[in-house]
Amino acid sequence: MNRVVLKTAILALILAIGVLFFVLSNRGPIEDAALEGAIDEELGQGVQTVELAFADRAATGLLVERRRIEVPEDRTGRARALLQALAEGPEESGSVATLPQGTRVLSVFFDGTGEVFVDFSGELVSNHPGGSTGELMTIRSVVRTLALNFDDVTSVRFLVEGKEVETIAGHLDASESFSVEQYR
Amino acid sequence: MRVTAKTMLAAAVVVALACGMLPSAANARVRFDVDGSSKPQSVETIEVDGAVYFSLADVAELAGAARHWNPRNNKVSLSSDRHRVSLSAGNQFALLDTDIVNLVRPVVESDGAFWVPPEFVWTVLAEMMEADIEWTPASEIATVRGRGVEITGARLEERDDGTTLIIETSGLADVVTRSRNAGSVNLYVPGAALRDTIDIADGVGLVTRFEATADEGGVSSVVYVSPGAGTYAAFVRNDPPRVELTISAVSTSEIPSAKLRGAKQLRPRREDILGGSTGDIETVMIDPGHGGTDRGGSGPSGLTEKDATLAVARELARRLQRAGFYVFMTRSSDSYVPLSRRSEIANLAAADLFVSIHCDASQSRAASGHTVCYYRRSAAPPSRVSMRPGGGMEPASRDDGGQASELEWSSVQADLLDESRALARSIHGSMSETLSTHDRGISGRTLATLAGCAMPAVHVEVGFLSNRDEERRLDDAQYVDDVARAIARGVTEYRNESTGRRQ
Repeated sequence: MNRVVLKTAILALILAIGVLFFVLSNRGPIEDAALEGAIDEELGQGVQTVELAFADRAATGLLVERRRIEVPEDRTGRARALLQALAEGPEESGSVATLPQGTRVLSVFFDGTGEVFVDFSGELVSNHPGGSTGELMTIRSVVRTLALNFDDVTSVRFLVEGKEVETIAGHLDASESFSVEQYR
Repeated sequence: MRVTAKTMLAAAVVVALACGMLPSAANARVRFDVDGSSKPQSVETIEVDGAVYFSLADVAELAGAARHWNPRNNKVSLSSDRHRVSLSAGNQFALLDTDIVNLVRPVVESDGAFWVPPEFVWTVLAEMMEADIEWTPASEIATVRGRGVEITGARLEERDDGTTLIIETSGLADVVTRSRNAGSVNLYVPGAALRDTIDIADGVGLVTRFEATADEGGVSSVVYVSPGAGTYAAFVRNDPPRVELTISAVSTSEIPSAKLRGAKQLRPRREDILGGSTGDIETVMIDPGHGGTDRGGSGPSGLTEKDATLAVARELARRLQRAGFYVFMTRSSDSYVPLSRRSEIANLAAADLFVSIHCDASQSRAASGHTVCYYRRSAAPPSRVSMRPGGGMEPASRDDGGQASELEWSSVQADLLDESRALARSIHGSMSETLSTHDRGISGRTLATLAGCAMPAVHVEVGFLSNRDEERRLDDAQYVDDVARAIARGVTEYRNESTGRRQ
């Protein structure tokens, strides 16, 4: 099948699902009660406390930063906002950004079975410092951040510019999804 | 995963149709009939100023190349196993490897997609596919005819540190190294034809004899070497196109007497070359990480990972040879070797151990130390297990590389978890004993290079290039030697323990 048509179709799907969630979520409170934080109903958008996982300075593990940010109510919009905040780096000292400079989150897709597809801009690969540990930190911080904020996420699949990639920095197999169980 | 992706696409189309969002007028397409391939591929085209332009995405797929886009300068590059092409929107020149190609018309960017003029197809794509492409404007079908590489001759050259075998080819060929025996190396050039039978009986340097014979699938050749031969490396080179096998000497005093006795059998039977392994750990495939266009990580002062890994690997090869191993390397120069190719080389050489050398890096300059990694499979969804032919859960046979499906091939290493972890422990123990750098322990990771290795395999992160101190150390020959010695000792101890267990 034609790639351009496919791309258009996927975008259309994501848009359609986004609209659907927007419509559905406007009818009641957001489903994820585990998250505290006020929702500004009138604006249709809200400020919530979210948890973002960055790397520690020795690159041995993750440090979770709690932050209040404005997020859309729909799941995909919220996931995008979270990951975009993750890409912009930590506020607390002692934590280190895990997504390379300039990385943008192009789209997020929840497949309904616990798997999340996250499409990043090319900077994820082109600006990555390399090293399997650096790569592991990038993957784990995204997986942990999604798992912390969405209870039902079981695995995360990385796409770059809408395409499957073999690896992000040349080591860890990104052709399959990364499980929350192993990579959180 | 594949099922999920398909379902997702199908759903996407349905939703898109329902929303009436599918583009109504599809662009024209040109079908590419590739000879030898039963499924034709088509390339989307658009018209720009009266000329037909081809979709770069489709063209890249046809050439089996990956696309990279640099948004800062709007440059696109295509990279395949052999070629790298760069071009940018508005520019009528493309760079094919090191040649500048005039495309006559500029590359066009439209709606975020890149489109290339017909000249690109005749010149650049033809070169990437190593084929001649016939297409006349307005025609809906293009014909792709492979050029078919022919082996035209062979010669031997002596170098200071060994011997080089040069196999002359009419175009760029592919080469796989197969070897089982210390007395010979078997090289296979798939898809090639042989102009005349080659039999060089008068040896030069380390090579005592060279023979090449054609079979249906390509050309098979056997290089018989003298006991002084140490490391081997095969390359495909251009200008003029050729395959080179470099054989480096090991001083005779470094070869243990037992190996020397075995190696004296200079004309082994074919079964000896491709026959079964003895079960002894004799052959080590060293894999210097990255190389060529893939620089890997780099340090604050500019040391690149590809150079540092090669330096450690070379030293490690020397030390392992001295310890009585037969050593191969997935690359012995600054060349690009795709990830999946690395395990393939190890499997074809029937290596007993696989040691991949890497330098670590992280987002934080503070991170430092060495880590020894083994392959740990990502927790697979249950459907993947039941997808195995026959429904069994038993590990895939290790001898049917050619027959095994992609799924089994990619999971070979998962079945060697215990052995690989033991090898990692042994190397880690030796490194943490002798090196003063921070010890980060051993770690199970879903490493793409190790996945297809049919032998115990490890990935050694020797130090952090992103850390200023460690970068400086890795640029120092003495430290490189210390690292290599520590790894060699770990490998040797693993061999000794495993030999001890069997006796």
